Amino acid sequence: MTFSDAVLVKEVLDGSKDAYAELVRRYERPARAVAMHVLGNYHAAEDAAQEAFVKAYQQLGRLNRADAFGPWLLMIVRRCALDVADKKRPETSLDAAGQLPAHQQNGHLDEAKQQLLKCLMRLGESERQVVMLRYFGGHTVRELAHITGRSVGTVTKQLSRAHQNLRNQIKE
Amino acid sequence: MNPEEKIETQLEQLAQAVPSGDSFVHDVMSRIETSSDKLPKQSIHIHFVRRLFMKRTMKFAAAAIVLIAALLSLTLLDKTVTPAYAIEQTIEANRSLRFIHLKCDPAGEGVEEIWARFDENGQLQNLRMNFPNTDDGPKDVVWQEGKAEVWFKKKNSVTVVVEEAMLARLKMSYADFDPKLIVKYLYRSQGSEKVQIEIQDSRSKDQPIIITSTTNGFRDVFKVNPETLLLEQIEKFALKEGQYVSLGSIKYLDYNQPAAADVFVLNPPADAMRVDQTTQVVGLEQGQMTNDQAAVEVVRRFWQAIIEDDYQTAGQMMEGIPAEALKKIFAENFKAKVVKIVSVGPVKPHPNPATKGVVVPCTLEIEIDGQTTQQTFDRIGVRQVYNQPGRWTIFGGI
Repeated sequence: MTFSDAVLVKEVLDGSKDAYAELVRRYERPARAVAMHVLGNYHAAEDAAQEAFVKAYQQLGRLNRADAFGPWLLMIVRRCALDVADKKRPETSLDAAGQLPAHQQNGHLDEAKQQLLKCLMRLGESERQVVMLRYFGGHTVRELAHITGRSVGTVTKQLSRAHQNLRNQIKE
Repeated sequence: MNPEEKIETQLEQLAQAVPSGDSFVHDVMSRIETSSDKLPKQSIHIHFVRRLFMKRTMKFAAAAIVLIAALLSLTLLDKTVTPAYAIEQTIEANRSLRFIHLKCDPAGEGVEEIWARFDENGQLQNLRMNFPNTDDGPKDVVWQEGKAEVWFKKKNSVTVVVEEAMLARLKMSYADFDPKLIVKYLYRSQGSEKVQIEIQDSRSKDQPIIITSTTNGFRDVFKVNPETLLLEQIEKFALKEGQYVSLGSIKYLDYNQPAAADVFVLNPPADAMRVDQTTQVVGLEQGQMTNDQAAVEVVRRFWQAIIEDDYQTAGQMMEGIPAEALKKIFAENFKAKVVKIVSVGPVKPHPNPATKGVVVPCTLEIEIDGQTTQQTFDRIGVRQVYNQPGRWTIFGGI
């Protein structure tokens, strides 16, 4: 039901902006999560994530393996977030924060969620990608297999390993 | 974080706390559109299109095209008759499901047939999945009362385990075929720009309601029974060279028909080896040993037991295989007498990380036809016993 990242990347390089919009939709929330991990703040994270998508678009021709788009993008997001952190941008206005869910109206995750996000960032690239697409993107295992170009069995195992890894980290 | 709370639940809660923004995609694409001439390298085509659209006259033309398209779509929408059937009706009908039986065609390396039973709250109670072609040969899996029972038909053995990760994998595999989840997903997709959904209502009780979902070169055709409003079949297609070609289908059979008495009971041959890791202590206790030391020690104890004809201990070190079964395996397949252990270890990573195990190579002195020689075994896998913390076992044979 879903095109793989590799197919979409090739379409973007062939001139399709729709294909890139699809990649942005697919990785929006994973990108926000990575940026939030670095910046700890929703508003700053949004800026960094947007900046990263623009940079990734401009540098897409340098991507050696089209199927590695996800991990590559999230690396750019992290770099952009670190840049934002260095610049120490001022906080966004409270008006915008008013539109956020009540549990994070200050634009920050609570401590437990920050810890889980930290554990998530410690996973290997492939495992982190499938976990983020599964939970932040809401994709089924079958869709993840299409997106990443891996078999359903591989994705299932990666998810299972990631869950176990996270459980172990939480227990430590 | 609460270590007792399911990790899946915690991840879902985390995901909910990282919302998507309504205008995020639009904002990114606008920034790309206005970011001067910074375009993907190696992209001549997009460069050309972009320059074309930067011309003011062309901008006008593009705007006009968009306007005409919008008006046309409005007109079409106006003429569309709202179908009597709505996907919510099937979601509602699914609430009554207590028993599901489905078949996949073709099965490929995946599942071929599934039976599932639910309680009155819709919670999964029993599951059976038959896999005709796996790395281990054909296998049937039954899950009930928290235990997974796996019948490896080629090996003629049955293993009973309680392992959270395995159960999670089973449930996840089932989720891909679960009509409740599939229909909910379909319902949510109605609001998505990237999915086109068409509903063709039934004209008679013999004709199914047809829902066609098309997205990015894939098409799923759902057939819904007009009387029960339950899903009867999903046919999957992929766009290849301009045409949608069939990938296969899932057929839903026997909704709410009580399962045959033996559906959730495996029926292996009487001589099948049975290893129940939920009732018997398996492997070696780690005690004060490090993981690597324990892995080496379990292999050393296994071979020492074989030297001493102690198949009881050897079987315990190897996934709890019964002594008689292990003795028979050795008699039929290992035509040599083990004289002594020359070396065991060091531990190496397992070639398949999914096993969560390690490899412990070992060299033995063996006697064949009166001749003494050395033989090295370099594929012996060792891992922690499922659901028996602090115990280590040889797995996957020697």
